[in-house]
Amino acid sequence: MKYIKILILIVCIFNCHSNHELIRKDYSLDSNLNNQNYSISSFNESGQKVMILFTPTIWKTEILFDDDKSLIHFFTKKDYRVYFIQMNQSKNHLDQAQEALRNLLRHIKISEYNLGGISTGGWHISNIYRGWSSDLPKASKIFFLGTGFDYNYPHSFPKQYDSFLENTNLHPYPRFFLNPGLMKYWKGGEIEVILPEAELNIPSDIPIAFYWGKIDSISPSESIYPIYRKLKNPKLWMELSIANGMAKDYDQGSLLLGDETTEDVFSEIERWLED
Amino acid sequence: MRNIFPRILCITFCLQILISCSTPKIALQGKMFHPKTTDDWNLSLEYFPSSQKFTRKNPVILCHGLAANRNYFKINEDNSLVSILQKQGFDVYLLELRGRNAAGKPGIWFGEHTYDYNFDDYVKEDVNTAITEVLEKSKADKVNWIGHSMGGMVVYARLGTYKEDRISNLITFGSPFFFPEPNKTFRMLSHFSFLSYIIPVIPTESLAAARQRIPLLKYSEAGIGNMIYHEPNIEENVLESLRLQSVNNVSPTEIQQFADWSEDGVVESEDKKIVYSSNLNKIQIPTLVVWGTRDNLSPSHVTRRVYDEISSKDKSIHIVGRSQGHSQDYGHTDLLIGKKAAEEALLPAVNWLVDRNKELKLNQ
Repeated sequence: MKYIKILILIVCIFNCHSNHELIRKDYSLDSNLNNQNYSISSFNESGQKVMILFTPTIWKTEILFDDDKSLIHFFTKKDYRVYFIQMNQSKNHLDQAQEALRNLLRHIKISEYNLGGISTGGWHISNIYRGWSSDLPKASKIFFLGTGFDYNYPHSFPKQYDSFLENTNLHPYPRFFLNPGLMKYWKGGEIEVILPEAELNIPSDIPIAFYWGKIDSISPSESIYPIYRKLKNPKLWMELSIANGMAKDYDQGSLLLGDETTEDVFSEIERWLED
Repeated sequence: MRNIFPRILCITFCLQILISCSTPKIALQGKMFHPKTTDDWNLSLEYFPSSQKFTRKNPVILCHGLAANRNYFKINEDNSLVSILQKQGFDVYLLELRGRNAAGKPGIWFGEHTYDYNFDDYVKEDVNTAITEVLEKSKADKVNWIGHSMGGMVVYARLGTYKEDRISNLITFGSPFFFPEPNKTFRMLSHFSFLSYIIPVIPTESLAAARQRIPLLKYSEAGIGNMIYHEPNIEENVLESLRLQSVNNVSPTEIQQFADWSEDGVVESEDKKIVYSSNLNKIQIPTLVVWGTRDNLSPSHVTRRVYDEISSKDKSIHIVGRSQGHSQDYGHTDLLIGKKAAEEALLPAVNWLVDRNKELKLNQ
């Protein structure tokens, strides 16, 4: 019996060390209380470095923090305080995204932060600093993870997605992601009102990085490169693929969560942010 | 140093033995012609007539890519591009550019010809000779051109830079015409281009055969296979045939030119006086651009830029990958020889060509 107790104690100690506990805090900063346009939450408020994320619209936000291998787990372990802004579908999403970021910055009173657009969440950032108040800081760096912008070509994702929505027999797996285990995080829903304008208006002194999956069918490289090419900012183009030394060719799902994602994707982003 | 040449000879001899071991046979065989270019190189054209009671007015020329010969257009037999075109009533001419074995293997050190040609020779001489020969044989006014990889690039260059008006329609499969932001493997391969100043030929034919015959060599591949195809998307026997029968040696000057392009980001002549890429907007003939979503040599953002810059009023895209409901994300060569390439990549392209070749001649 004594040995069993010791064994249980060892297991408990081991679990304490292996589980990184995330503490989530929700904010009520939206002035429109009846019909909320966005919601904001934070993780690891004691973190020294600040990262603000715009979360995907077609994925549930849990994909970013539910699992030990998730993006928010990774960055909070690296001493990041992570805020995420979740936008609701609205024609005015660009203005509302700006309002959300403004309200958050005024509330948390920080001078330095990095901004990230995750999947379709990146669409909200495309004009985020248009008419920006001079009393508020701009991001030190911006990264996009699996965000496409220019879909003005035949058979592009929005057209495929429309036919997917119209045909109830179609399944998002394997068309949009390859790991069926991620089905529980799939949200889907309409995207038409928030589709980007194939332009990115970010002040040219902010470095921007584009991380894209080789076989991402939602944000394929052809929907990113025209934007990347035009940018005058310091910029990084990062293909996540076997040909670039990664463990696999990344699709949209595995960009967000997967066994090798921490090393191949999140570590790459962290290295660039720290550089 | 003085012992290096006997060693090279010995290795070459062993590799030749490996190549000459039994190779799978391709049943699809046509009639061979060997037109001569004005600078005295023999090319090969293999002719396959329409298998219908009619023939479409303009024949089709098929052209292979870098380090390849014509055979991979036939490996899939009934499901090959040659066969599908024949069934749709096209006369098909399968082209081999200079330096390929069917028209006489160049010498390594000596001989009438050695491996000293480049991309400019293909564009200026070989494409011209092939079109002239096919028009003469078929009595047609124009040809349709289908190129895979470099087989499409040679026509982008010719249409944009020379006043070539004998091509009615163009289909390209995985043909890049810009080289921005190359990935690690591509950069690594470019770094080896210094070898082209030292050795008289890049022995890709022997290396591919060795890779097939000695399975352990897959561990020394350094990701090259992944650049060329997505292995799970190709049947084993087809892959065997690809390695043993469809790979050709590469001229060092040709490989140096590709390395320069990956440095400069654009396709240009060897002397850099012509930037072929900047003439892409002069292309005005109907064009279909086909790309695979996993292609590492012609990534989709590069191929989309090609599509955007071509100024034809009649231009189309066919994307082959899961996003379009297909079985797989296609790699560079899968587009022609993938497990379901016939239905997912080739038939849609041939249907596009059929729509632009309605005029028929009844066969006697």
